[in-house]
Amino acid sequence: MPEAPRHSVIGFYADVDSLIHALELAKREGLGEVRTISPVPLAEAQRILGGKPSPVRYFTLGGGFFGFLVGWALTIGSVEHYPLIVGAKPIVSLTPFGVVAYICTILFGALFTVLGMLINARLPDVKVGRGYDPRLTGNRFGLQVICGREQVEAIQDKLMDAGAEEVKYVVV
Amino acid sequence: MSRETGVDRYTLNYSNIDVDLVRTMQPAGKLYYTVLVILAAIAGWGGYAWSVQLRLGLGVAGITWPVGWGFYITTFVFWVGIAHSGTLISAVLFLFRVRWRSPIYRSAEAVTVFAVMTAGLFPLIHMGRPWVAYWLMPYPQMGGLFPNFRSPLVWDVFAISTYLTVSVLFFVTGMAPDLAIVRDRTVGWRNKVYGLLAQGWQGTDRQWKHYTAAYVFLAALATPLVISVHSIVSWDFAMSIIPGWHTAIFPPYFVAGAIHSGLAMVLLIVIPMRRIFNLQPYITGEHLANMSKMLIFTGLILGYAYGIEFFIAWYSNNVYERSLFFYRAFGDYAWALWLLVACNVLGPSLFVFRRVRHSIPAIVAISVFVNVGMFFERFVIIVTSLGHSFDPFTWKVYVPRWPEVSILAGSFAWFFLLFLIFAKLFPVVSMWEVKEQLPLPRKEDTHA
Repeated sequence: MPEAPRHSVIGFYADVDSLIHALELAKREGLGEVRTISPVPLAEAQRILGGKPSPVRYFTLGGGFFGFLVGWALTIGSVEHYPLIVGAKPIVSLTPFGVVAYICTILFGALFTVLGMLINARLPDVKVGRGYDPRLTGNRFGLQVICGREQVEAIQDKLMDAGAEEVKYVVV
Repeated sequence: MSRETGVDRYTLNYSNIDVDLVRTMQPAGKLYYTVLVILAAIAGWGGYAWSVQLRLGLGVAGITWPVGWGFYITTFVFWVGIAHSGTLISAVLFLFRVRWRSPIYRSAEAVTVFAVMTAGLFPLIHMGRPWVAYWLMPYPQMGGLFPNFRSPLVWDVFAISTYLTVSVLFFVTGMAPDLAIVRDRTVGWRNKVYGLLAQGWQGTDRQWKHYTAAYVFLAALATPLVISVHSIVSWDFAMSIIPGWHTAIFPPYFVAGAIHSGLAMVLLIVIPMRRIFNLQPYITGEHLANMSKMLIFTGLILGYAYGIEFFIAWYSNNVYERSLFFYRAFGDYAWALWLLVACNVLGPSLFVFRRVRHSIPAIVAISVFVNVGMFFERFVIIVTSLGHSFDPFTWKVYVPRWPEVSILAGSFAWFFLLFLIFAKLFPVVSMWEVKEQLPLPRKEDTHA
């Protein structure tokens, strides 16, 4: 069943101060679900929006740990499967196998990090066309407030009062 | 922008960054295609030489007992080394919050990816039978026999393939916000292609939050790779008992050498690029001077390593080690040793003079010397040790033959060809990171 369309208002700001002012206002007055859209990461906006730190770090840790196990399992498993003494070394040679385990730690840590980023950032995002404005990767900062249809006009006014250059009604 | 980056002398702002850098991707002129065709022809010649070797066998190359590793392995180590500066600039300098890395790291990362791709060809070429290359990979097969994980050569397969994977991930992830900018400033098929590559990036707070977190962790994972990959490459040699190879100094020595050659290659790429694309406001003389200073540092480490190698050989009182190092300094390849010392240590030391590190011709010349020197460093290490090991009756002088020289030339052409194609298809400077280095637009700026 298709998702019901949601209504939103995007305010466009030429400077960060106005955006932050509008964001604080939106949070303070509980205008609705808010998100910022910007050409660069904005630490100040992240602070106001709050929320927990990115869970990507758990993916990195988990991936690294998984890779570490894979490295040992691959090396020890393979020599146990076909025990052949080479170069007078023990069948399970911990030092050289540790090199492979280290490399696998890095490899899977990196793969899981990217996976964690994609999952948490909800990428790839096929719905980019809905409500998206190309100015927001360029030189403008956006504040999007998702709200009920009846609130749209009031929120448009509030965002304009907060210094928006332009406001846009978007169905997402 | 801060003085540290040097970009403050120009009026960069969010708008002209997009315009300037998307402009570098506009359809190219005749010169571009002429260079492209020349490089493709040289790469093709290298490919032809390889095809001759495949048809007639490894006998067409100069490598034969006792010098079983010649130009191919030398070139492999050379290209792996070239790759290192990219990760150093993109990951290590990122973690250290070095601001001047922003305009150059994208090119440096491209150098990493293409250099590893080039390096990866050489073990296949050296094998003689590339169609059985998959034997190097661990896969369950009927005999139940896996690769020998105690061998540094197998570590190398893992290290290089991991390095390529992590470098590509870092490269592609770092580009997503820029691809979105390109998507938003192009039309037609370009808009569709870049839209696909940008994966729907919009720059929302959610995306930035997880993206910046992932970027830090990828940098943190790539950083130990800078050290470990070339350490493992050095163990290809140091784990053996061959005189001149079996030494504990090899890992740091190889890592310093790798960064040395890589920095020189990045300079050689960045200098013409900034001129052709008019990127002087982005990649300033200060950026080039900073990289030149790093070359002084790595050159000094190498000078120390070269000296200590000879000292250890003398101090060990081992007849084989002493004989080998005497041979390196005064034997058949003595010219190569003294050339590499001049190119790798003496040349970059000229950068202590401000005038030299601010002179483009001098930087280009010294960077060329460094790359020549680093190639011959690997050549001297590999060939002299094999050709002059324990038994004098096995001593031999190795001379590369035309397929080896052709494939070497082809590898350079292949590498530059890849970069040239990249430079027209993708932003060569990270737009979002350069923007991030600028002060955020404030209310007083917009109302001024």
